[in-house]
Amino acid sequence: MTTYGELVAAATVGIAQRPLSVTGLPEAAAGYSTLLDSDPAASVLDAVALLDAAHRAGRLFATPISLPTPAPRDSVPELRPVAGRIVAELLRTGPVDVLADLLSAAAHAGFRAPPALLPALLWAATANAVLRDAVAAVLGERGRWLAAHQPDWLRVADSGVGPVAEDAWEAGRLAERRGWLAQLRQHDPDAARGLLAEGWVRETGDDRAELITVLADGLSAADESFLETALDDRRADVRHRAAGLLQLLPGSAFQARARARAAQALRLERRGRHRRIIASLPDEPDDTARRDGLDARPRSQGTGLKTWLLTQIIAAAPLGLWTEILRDDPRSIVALPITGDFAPDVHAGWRRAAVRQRNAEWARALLDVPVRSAAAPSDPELAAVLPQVQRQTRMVALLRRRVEEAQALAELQSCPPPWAAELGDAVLGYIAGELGSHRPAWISALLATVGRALPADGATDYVSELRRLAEDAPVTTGWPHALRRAADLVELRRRFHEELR
Amino acid sequence: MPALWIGRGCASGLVWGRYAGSGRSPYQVVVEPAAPAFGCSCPSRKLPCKHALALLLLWSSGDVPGTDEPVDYAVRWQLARAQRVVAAARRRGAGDEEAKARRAALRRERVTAGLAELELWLCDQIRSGLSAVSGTYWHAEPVAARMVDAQAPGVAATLRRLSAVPVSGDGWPQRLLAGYAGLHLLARAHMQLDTLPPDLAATVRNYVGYTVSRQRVLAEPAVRDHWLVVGVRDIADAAIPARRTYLRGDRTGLWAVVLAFDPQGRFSGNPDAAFVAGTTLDAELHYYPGRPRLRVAVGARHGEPAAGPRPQPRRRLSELFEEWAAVLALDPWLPDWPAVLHGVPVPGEPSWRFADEGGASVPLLIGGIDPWILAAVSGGAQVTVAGEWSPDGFRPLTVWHGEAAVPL
Repeated sequence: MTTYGELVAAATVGIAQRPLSVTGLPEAAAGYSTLLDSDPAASVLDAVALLDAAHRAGRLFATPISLPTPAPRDSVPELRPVAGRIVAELLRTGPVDVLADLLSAAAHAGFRAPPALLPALLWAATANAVLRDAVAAVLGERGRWLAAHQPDWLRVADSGVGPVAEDAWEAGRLAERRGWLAQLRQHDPDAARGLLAEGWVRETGDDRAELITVLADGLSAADESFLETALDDRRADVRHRAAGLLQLLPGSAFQARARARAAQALRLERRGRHRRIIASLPDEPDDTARRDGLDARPRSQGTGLKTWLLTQIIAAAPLGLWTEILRDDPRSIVALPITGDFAPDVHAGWRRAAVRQRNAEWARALLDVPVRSAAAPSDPELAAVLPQVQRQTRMVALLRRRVEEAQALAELQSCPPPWAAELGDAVLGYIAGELGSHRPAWISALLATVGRALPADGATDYVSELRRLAEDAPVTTGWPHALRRAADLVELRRRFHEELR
Repeated sequence: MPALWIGRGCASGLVWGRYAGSGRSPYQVVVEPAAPAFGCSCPSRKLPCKHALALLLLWSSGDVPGTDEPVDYAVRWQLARAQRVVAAARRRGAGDEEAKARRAALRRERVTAGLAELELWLCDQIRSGLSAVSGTYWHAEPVAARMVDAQAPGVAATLRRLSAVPVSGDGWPQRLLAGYAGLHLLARAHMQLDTLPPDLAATVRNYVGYTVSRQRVLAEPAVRDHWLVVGVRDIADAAIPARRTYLRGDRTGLWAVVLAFDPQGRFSGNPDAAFVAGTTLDAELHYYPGRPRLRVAVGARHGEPAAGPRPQPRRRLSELFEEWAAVLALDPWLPDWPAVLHGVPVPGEPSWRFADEGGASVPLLIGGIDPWILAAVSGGAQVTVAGEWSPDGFRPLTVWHGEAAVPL
């Protein structure tokens, strides 16, 4: 009997060198040996043709395999097909920020992503941090099950607030431990801090820096002594975060120290009806001041160390201090002249404090009297402190005043979507007045923002309004194309939101 | 340059103009862009000549004014062209049955002679040993070229594929030998073509590379059914990119495949390439001759495609193996066969596998697809998957998520 292996071996060497006479065939081909040709070469080919057919017919045997653990059942419904197709389209073509908005809206409305889109969503969120939280929020049980197959996907899944396992604090990864601690902090702040303090010395630097941020939620006087210890941490970012929290803690020793330092910095001088602020440059910071986070290195070229310290000292103090010692409201205080060209440094301090302490009254006052400096937060950052309604009202006023193009864009980009109808109308009015502009990059950036943020529902049909503007715009500019794209985007968002009802 | 043009115009699908070239009188240039067809009175033998091209360019950039009526010389040219087209069609039709039979017999002779040479070559390879071609790339190219001359393009294509086997890694001698044996079997079968059952003879002719005209196939009896589109596979790396669409009859349970070819691989505008997995179409399909019956030409369609049901799957791999053995007995050269299976895709290294309800599994062929879509839809539970079965494993093409088809 001649086996397949013998035939291959003979043909490889050549039957001229290694003669082979095929006598009989094994298995399924056995009955057909009489069909073989008398020529030795042809008989090898005959035999292989027979054996190969048998081989192909029975080559693969079903081998037993252990099955994967199935995903837990999802209680949340999947996005409906039309919404799913919109997600798929945005995954293909972008823009990703709109995709992130829609996914967040879907999660909020109680939907999860269709399973077939999960791999593409997880890959996209791996590559693009903008999508991470939004994708994590629509994963559902199926998505979390799938994410467990790839380390990159697991990181995406972890960025969402999912159900936290019982033993997450002892056995979980950092993101799970943080989630677990945050949950505990919500219903028992003292227990959460206690637990954190208990194992504090054994935590790694990365873990300490991450876990300390949990205390921002439900911050109270009871946290003070723990945070004071953290001011002596080996890690700069842990110290920095502890100082940031202490600064927000009314009546803390930290605040008292900050007030004391700041009280030396500014005072009010009154000459008849004229008032002005006298600013005094501070001394080199002592050890306590350094411990409280004062940075004694010059910030950059051109900024003197002393003026930088002045800015920091003002930034660290509670804003209430200034209404006390300058004896007026924020609006009047920011309008006062400041001696010695220190106005930019003092305002930079106030601006930082307003952002840090999320003080809307100060933020509004500072925005109305803009004194800018490199060390200060920008107007949009400051505007982010304002309540949503005030913020949009301010934006409307800016657009009516026709501020400079770059500023208008920066401010609009920082106005969180979706915009109120009043702002939407103001933006359309603004665009109508700018149709003569020929700056393609600015036009497309502006309309990318507009397409994302114009209200998709409500009284005004912004899709038609944008298309009408596209008709009016000069053909040779970037406007018609960008306007139509924005219109398409608003329409897409409208269709998506209809599907969430 | 347009200054040399006189009386340009366009109307009724014609574009014309006179061009003052080097000749004594201006050339009369006419273009019918939709055909496209070109006419010019210049002496150039090129078609289209530069004048016609220039006119076409002017027209496409909007530099030819529209008028109500075409000018006389343009109308005369169009009339003459129509007569030529009709005459040519008549000549072609007159190619009588006798000539056709003569050509067929001639081709059969050529193929037979070519395959006899192939047989000699194959036996020579076995005698001198396959190791002689170890590490080479184009060893079978000369004989493949000979098969093209012998009008056996199917055999030529197989030889070209086999030319690459010596560089395909471990076990290549067996793969090459198996390929040779398949060709040997085909050549032997062709010698006895007249004694074979007609459907087997058709299969042999198909592998050799005889083509069957679509008209002839459409003249065969039709099978009308609600055909569910179960899977679409694009084969981009073929000599001519092809799209295979697998259909399954709701009433008949028959398999069918529609092939579409496009050198550019875009398949736009071809109704044979526009099927969507999961839809069902009430249509009359005409099978190409051969066995097992699979390839079809789509005849009459009744109504628009609609959303279709989830197909009935096989729940046991053993059933698939039986079907595969049965179709292989009908066609020993068959490379793959469509299948709808129910089971669990199992991610893994080095290969993914597909397990049936009994826990038996086969390899999944996941080249060119994102297998994670399959895993996501399955969620580790059983799903219905349509694809191609071959001795290397199961290539998934469509997975059903509930009643909805998800193409992979």
